[in-house]
Amino acid sequence: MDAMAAVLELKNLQTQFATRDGIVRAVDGVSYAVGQGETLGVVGESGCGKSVSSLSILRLIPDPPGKIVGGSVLFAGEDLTRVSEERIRAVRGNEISMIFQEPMTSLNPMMTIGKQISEPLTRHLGLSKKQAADRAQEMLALVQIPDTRKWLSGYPHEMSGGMRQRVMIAIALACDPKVLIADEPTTALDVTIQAQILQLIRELQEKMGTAVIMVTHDLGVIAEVADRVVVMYAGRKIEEASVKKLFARPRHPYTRGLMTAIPRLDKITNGDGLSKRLTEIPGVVPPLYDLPAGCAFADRCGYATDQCRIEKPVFEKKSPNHWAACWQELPG
Amino acid sequence: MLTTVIFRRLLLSIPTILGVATLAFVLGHLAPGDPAIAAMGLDMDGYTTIEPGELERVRRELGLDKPMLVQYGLWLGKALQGDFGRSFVTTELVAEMIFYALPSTVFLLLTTMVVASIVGIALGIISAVNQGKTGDYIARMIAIIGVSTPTFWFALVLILLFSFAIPIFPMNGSVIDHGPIAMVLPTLAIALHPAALIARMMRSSMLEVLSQDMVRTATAKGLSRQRVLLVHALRNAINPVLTVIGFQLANLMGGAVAVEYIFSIPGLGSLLIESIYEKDLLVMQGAVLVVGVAFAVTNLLVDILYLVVDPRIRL
Ligand SMILES: Nc1ncnc2c1ncn2[C@@H]1O[C@H](COP(=O)(O)OP(=O)(O)OP(=O)(O)O)[C@@H](O)[C@H]1O
Ligand SMILES: [Mg+2]
Repeated sequence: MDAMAAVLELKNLQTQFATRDGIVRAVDGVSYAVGQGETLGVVGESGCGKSVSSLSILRLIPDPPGKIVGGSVLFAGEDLTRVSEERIRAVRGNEISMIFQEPMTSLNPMMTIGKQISEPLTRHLGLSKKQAADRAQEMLALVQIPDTRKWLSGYPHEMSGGMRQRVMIAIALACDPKVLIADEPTTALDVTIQAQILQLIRELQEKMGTAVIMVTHDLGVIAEVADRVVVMYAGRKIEEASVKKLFARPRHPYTRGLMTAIPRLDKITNGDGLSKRLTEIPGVVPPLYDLPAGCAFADRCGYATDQCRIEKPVFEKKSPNHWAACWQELPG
Repeated sequence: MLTTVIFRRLLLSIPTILGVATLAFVLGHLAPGDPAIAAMGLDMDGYTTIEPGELERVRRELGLDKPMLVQYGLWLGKALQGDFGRSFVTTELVAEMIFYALPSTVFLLLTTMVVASIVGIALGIISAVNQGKTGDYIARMIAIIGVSTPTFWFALVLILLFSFAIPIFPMNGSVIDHGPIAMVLPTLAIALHPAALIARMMRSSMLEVLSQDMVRTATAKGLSRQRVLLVHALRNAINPVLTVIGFQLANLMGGAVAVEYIFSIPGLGSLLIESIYEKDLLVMQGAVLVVGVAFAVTNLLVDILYLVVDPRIRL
């Protein structure tokens, strides 16, 4: 993030949840920035705080139990963690939009597709109903949904998951936002549909110059769409680099672990018929309400020394455009 | 299509209505006392003073001497054409008596349901939105009291408080005599219970919807809190509440009977109670039949409303 001016910048963001077990530090001092037209990938295992950090940007964390307790989210000269309710509402869906993992449940089943796309247009751009409906139809065409006239008055339950995610994208991009946050937009979809949706997001991003924050647990997605990557572990950023550099030489043992995990089966079905994500790195993430004094990854790390267990590693520059939080110098 | 589904439901309600009619007939005959004696203007004690043969003559006149099944067939055949016969006691047409009593009851029930729905839905939303906070506790307390208070008892308490102790409202519920103010106490008396049930259903339904992804989507669009709650969440949470409202409207008939009587409202409930006192068989049967059919029709309308409201179950 040296050359480009940042559109959106997180500085030392901290989000916590008050739970029965104690304070869950879901996001524990995360900083990153995204520039105009850039795609920033945010990657990490399940539960490492990817969603919480991206939801925190638009203050969509359920409160209680969640709260942003520190840091800032800088956007257009303002700190979004501190602006009024009214101001953050004017930013949501207008200047910064978000799409979610679960297309099957993210749309309102009782409202027509046309109405759902029109809403942000009338709300933020002050369009009349007629103008908004016309623009909604254009948006449907833009996200490559056939028969736009018909779908304007259609309902979500009549659509497949892929089509619903296209509608979510249409809603998110309707007001031509500066930043699009996509939280695992393809995780719930078939592989072929995944590729189409990623392709669509990339095309629209180029057309509209939107900055994209692509949240995923899948390095394959990162390789495909991201310019730069932030790797998260246990609520912290542990590595950041350009995609090229990250894949060429990951500096953190955790990132290396993630890489040996692709290609991999995304999900396996265990005995109870429940779907479970396959963890390729042995061991588990320490509970976020009881983090160790040293590196949170130490217990799972083959390179860990006593220093790692005692002292938190400093997030430092390892080479140009490449930072990591690790005491060890990994072999190349 | 919607119309065929509605038509199918209509056909399905025919057996229900026949069942209701049979029940009305049987109940009428199961009620204690002899309608013929009542028709002669005598009570049980006067039994001995009747001349021999007189009772049989009255029975024959009223058609009570025929076998039960024949009586049933005759009554049903006429009832289905809207002819409920004449009152044994006053010789007025039963259909006319019901026709005059009906508006008071319908008006009372509809007013009550509107009040109960507004209050219940509002309480439920307040409860859900403030889950675990003071507003929630107060709203839930009101709901618990409402559910556990018997309607007739509450009606009496209201009269004692607001007609005697602080005489604001008339004790008599007749709108014709006292104007709309007469509606207040009976409406409140009947509305309490359904309002409480509606509030409970609204709360749980709203809480469930509020945790859904689509509410987060609506918020992420930048919509106001009111719009998220009242357009997106409420629209999705309201269906089970509509069902409760429908069933309550049907169930209210029970509470209304007592309350009409307590407040001397000349409605169907008062008519029914008086006919039971007086052993006025045909009035009793007619009133029960009309109440039962109203019950079935209300449920049918709720079903249809449900279909119209939810795009997902239009098959
Ligand atoms: N409402 C909540 N209450 C308590 N803890 C929460 C809540 N939401 C999230 N957390 C905690 O915050 C941590 C981070 O969760 P988050 O959803 O950000 O993970 P993630 O990286 O997005 O994972 P996934 O790949 O499963 O989506 C988790 O450990 C979770 O337990
Ligand atoms: Mg997530």
